[in-house]
Amino acid sequence: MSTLTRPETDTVATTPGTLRGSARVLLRVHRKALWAAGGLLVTGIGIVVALRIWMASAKELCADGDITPCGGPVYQPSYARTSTEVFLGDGGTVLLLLAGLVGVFVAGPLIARELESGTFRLAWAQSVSPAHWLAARLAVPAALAVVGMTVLIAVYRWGLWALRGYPYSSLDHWYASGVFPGTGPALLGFTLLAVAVGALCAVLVRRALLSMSLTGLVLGVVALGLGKRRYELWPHILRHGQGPKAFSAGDWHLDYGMLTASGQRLYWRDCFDTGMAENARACMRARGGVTNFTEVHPASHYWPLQLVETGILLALAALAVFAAFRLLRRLHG
Amino acid sequence: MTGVAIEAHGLGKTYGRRGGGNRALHDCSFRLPAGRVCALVGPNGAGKSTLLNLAAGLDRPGAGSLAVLGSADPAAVRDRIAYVAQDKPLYPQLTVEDTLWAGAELNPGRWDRAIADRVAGALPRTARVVTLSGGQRTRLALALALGKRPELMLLDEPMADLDPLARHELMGTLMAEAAEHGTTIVMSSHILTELEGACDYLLFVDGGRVRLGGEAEDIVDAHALLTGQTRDLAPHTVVESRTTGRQLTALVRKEGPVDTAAWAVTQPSLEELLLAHLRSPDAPPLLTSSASAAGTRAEVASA
Repeated sequence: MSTLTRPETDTVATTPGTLRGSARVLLRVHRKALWAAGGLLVTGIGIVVALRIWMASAKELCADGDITPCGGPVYQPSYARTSTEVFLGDGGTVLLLLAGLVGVFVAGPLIARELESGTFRLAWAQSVSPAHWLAARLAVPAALAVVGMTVLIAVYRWGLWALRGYPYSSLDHWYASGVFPGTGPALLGFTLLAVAVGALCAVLVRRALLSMSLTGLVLGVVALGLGKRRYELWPHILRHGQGPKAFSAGDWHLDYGMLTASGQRLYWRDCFDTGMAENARACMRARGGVTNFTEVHPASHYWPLQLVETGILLALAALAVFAAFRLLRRLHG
Repeated sequence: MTGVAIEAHGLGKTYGRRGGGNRALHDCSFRLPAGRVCALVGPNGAGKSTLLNLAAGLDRPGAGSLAVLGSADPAAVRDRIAYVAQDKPLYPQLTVEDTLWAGAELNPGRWDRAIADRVAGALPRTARVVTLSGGQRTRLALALALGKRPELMLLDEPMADLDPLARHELMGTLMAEAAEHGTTIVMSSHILTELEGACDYLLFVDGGRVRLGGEAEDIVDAHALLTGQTRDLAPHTVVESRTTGRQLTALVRKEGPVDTAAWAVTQPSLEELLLAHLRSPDAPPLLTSSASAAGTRAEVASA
């Protein structure tokens, strides 16, 4: 007999309900994946920390990051800073991919593989109801991923912070599709959506590989769609006339055109098919354009855009979770 | 209702789409009293696994009703039922020790580690499930099932992967636990000899319904193997008959005293009985009074 065998009956009397036990078993079954996720988290933090250390060690001679003598005719940023700008310029995309990975993991190894191989019956034939079984497989990854992503968002923002205040920075702006998704709560919304969509696809198709692909597809469409249409999530403002009113650093320029005397908007794009820029201007004038205007999202729209996007993602996630439970209930009671 | 482990009325289950689906169970009615060790036998595809799946609350019946341990919804009493599916589902990446630990986690308040350890026996505790042999997996699955101290155990082909020695030993453990706690056990198999001797109750499923149900002894007693030269078998119900020259051999269900002057009467073995019923799909079902669900059309034997 093994030494691990306990001699006397140890009847366990823990909390009622099996959700906690379910979660603990889930964590132990997927211990390796947990380590891998921890590894990814540490790697992510490590990359940003390393970039900042590298930047801090660069010999910048001036406040604007010039490594040649200040005020000289040549401006040359350090290699460390330009590299950091390039890397961090895609941080948002990387974080979106990480969130997608969580969803794919939930869809495949966590749920569909159990449905496919029959191990779900192990839990269900013990004292765990299907609803508790699914709830554990939603709650555990959701909680862990939200914590991990929150850390990564904070670290990413801390990395971007170091690049502020350089006038000639080539870093993408706050609204860039490679930056915006990784800097705020919208990423948490996307993470939760990934978990929910993964669960729904898994319960729907019950095949590991197929549900993983389907989850990836759905999340990809959502991420790309948001990237393309994000600017519509909050009403833009109009800048027109001359001087500071017409331009502000940090503006997200959406479209350009001219206002007619009556205030009607004419867009340049409608005149571009006339060919040369001169002709386009003439075309705008001919149609009654008087002053130039720009449709923009000022930097102050960052939070409204983030929050609306978060809200939409959370609503979609809630729908997917509801559908997954309904489906499981209809199939297995 | 007390004293009844499983009661089914007009139970039906169809897999796949309506119309073209595979009808696994159809108008299946029976009753299993509590405390019995029941053999659930029948040919492959008879509906045995479907029936166990429904009784374990893992699936919903398509028609009819199924009450388990007095609950109209088997899923509501899943903590009092143990179910070992045919493929013995276990998490392959866990060790034996972790699997037993998981049993405790998944059955808060019910788990008895001592029983589970006793059934797991000499299984190496640090071995991962994926490295276990079929027989070792069965042992571990049974340890999980018994560890939750169920009132009803549903075992789907439990002994299929075991060598004779392990089968004997595990069956002994199972029977001892059942006797000690009054556990009701339902064991399915398509090989009757695997279960004969261990079971005192019989449910013979064929074509999606129960064709024979009741105490094994009563079912055998209700039948007789007649050999003689007479042709008239009335009033008995003929299950199967064949002629060899002028000799007629018939397996009949007795409907009154047998004319021993005209017939040489022997008692058929349980296996002969089942084979005869398999060969004669039109033979009427027989459910003894204890196995007959109240209010069904099933014939009730006087035995």
